[in-house]
Amino acid sequence: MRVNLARLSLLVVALVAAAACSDPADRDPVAGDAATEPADTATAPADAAPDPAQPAAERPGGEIVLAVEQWPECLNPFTSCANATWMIWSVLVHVLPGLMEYDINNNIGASPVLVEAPTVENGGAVLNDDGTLTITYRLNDEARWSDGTPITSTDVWFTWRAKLDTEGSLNTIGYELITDVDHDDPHTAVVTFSEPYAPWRYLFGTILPAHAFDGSTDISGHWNDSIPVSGGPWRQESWSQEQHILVPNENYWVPERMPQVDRVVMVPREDTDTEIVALQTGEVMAAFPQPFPGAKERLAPPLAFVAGAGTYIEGLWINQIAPDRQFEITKNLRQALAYSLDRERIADVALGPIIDDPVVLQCAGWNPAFGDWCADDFAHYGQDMAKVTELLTAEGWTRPDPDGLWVNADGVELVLQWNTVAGNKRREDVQALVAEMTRPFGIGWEIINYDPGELFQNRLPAMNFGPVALFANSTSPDPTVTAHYDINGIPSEDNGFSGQNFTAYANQQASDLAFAIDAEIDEAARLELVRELGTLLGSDVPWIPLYVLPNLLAWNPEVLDGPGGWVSSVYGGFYDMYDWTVVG
Amino acid sequence: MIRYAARRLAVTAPILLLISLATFWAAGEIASPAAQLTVNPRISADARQAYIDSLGLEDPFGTRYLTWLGNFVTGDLGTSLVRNGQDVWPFVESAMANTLVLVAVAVAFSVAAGLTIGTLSAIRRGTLIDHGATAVSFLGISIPPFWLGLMLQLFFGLYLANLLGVGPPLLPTAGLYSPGQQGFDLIDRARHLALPAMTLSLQLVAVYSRYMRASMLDVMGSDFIRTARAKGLREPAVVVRHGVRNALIPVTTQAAVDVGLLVGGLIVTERVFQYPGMGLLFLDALNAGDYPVLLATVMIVSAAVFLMNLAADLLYAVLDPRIRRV
Repeated sequence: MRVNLARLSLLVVALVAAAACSDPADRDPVAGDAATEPADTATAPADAAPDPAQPAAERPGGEIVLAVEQWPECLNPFTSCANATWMIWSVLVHVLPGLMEYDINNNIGASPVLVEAPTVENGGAVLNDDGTLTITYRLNDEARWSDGTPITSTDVWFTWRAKLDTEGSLNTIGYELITDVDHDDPHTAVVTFSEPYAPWRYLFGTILPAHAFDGSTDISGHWNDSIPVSGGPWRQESWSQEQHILVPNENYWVPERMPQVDRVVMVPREDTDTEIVALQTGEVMAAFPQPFPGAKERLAPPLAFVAGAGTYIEGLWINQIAPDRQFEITKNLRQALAYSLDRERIADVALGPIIDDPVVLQCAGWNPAFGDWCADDFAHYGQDMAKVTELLTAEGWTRPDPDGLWVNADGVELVLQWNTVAGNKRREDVQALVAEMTRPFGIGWEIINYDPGELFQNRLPAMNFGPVALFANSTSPDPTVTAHYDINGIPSEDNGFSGQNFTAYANQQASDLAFAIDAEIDEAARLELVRELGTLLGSDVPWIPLYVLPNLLAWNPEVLDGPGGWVSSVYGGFYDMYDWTVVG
Repeated sequence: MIRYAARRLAVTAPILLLISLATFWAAGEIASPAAQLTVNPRISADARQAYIDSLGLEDPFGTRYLTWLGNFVTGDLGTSLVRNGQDVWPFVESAMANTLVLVAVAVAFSVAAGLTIGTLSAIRRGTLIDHGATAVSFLGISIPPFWLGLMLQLFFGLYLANLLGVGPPLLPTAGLYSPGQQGFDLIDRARHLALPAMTLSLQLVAVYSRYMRASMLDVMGSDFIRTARAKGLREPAVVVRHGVRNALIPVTTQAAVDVGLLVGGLIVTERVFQYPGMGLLFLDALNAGDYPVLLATVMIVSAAVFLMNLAADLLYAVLDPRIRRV
């Protein structure tokens, strides 16, 4: 991209006038890109469109305005654009369908695109004699895109190819194991995997309309600022860096999910304080803010809010190969640390200002909000001086001064460097509390905090932190934890610092179990493997789980009715806005 | 004058080069594109290598810098890492336009208000007006923009509307337009500019009023003012024609220099008011590790600040010929 220099020099004067007089609609990228997008709406068979599930005349109508905390930079569903959670929450789940979907309790099942979910019992999931796995998806005859084109197995095939062929495709895991998607029958997609792959249900969470692209399965150049064809309850009217407007998809085939209002306008409010002020002033009707101290007071009536378990878990991540460690971070030392903490009190201090009765996380990798995967693997850890003494003395630590710190054979005091995000009040409060809490147990801290960019982009990937760091990690409804415990996934120079085993937990048994969990398609057998790994983690303590970060959904009940049900959903709190109505 | 301008420009070029070098180094340290690659283990080895090659990340620092500089000066700002490979320029262009509008409004208001308050304060020296203006100025200089922004949001958005018993906020608390606005509406746009412009300009009003007061006091004690009065000119004419006119010389140049001071406040102000300008673009790029956008925003803003300083020097030389001989 080259800029005309003369034009650049004129900008100083010209842009003042230009911007002041510009029309936001002029910058509307949906309109601007229409010529370059291959959306084939003109060729859609007009008579193929079914009657709207709920005609506009029957809708209560009105407009909902919502605040969005992180604005997507672009809309391509498969490239780096989709790396932002809010891209899923504010855009994808409303306009693009998947084959399988989560319910309100985050259990996965058939979406309206399917007639039923494939299972071993109904012959939809078959482990073949040659070791391959075949999944047969039977598509709903009524399912169609917003332009009236039926959703067929060709769309499933196209999605698979687009995942693999798109330059910069963000996530190809699982799709790489697919050897073929048979789409001879438009109503049946037969997906074949080269080996057993338990998380198959979580693939095809978004499917694309094959007819909306120009035949190429590399979609990297498409849909940067509009998704012109919808298969969800809503379709995009426009999207820009300033606002996102959704209107009902009149061709949606699920009557109970037809939107009740005429229009939803989402606006960015990236600063939490600004977001809450906008809610208080009535400029927006609902917000899905990240948890913040003082939430209970600031979201008090006339506003309303609900809190539920979120998708992020926070804990003390222990880097066993921290460059600044003064001694080996042994299993005994990690257990001793766990026995010096009162995690209930920590959860109270961290989350008490936000929600009532915060829950301590008792497993290292799973989320109690998702299925039954999270057990009480860490429940036996509580403050226990005898255990701390036993574990540390067994490794030669002594405590010359009964009120002082433990000292090893080299005379080095038990002081651990601890990093977190500077300026994050919740985390800094936890640090202050823990420093006070572990002192009687002879464990001291050297607290060095960094800004998020330095910690997460520079230090974490290079394993240059800790030995202890306090941060949150996302969880998925599928129990896969391979990325965290893969013995080959420890970032190092040898592997180009790739991988997410940020604790450098090098236990072959745990790594094998993590891979076995991914390959087991029988749910009961899978749960047993998860339990086995959970018990091992509870003993090895690669990191110490603390709590699940809550989700908050806030709204003004004087103007909006309906929000609250999906606060803990992986789809975000706005997912069911098709059911929301404007009051008055 | 031409020789003076040429001298100043000759110094400008190497300093701009130094700025670009420092910017390139700092952006790489803050948002290392190589480090960002390691965060996502799902990027395939081939894709990772292709990206490394495209940015020349394995080249020596000097080579990378010269390549980037060559592209930058010819207008090639590169492609975004997080915006699906889209060109950086359209985003910078749009943000720059919005920021220029905001800065223009804030500076115009600051100059007008600051000069008026400063002049009044000087000609009413020692009175309640002078003391009041001094107190308010120091308060204005002391208040950080992020706090002021939030207070203005609460005051105009919530408290004042509640006090007056009106429904919607008197002034919108964020954004460029009202949600759902599809066409250009001058009133709506102006209403959305009000609070960020106020936040940005308060410190400048305070600073300009202090400069103007000091300058006016200096000028009003000059011989030519006594001469003007002795000639029988009416006091308003003395103040406006002779006093303000001469007092403006140092204040005008200072105003040009102070535009650079707005940059820090811009980042905070645009964030608080969700105003899509260069400050918000910079913050988004920083948070996302979008190295090409970060580089472009920092470099353009740095160059703009530097050029404003150069403009101030040249302006001063135009207004006061003695400077050209230095």
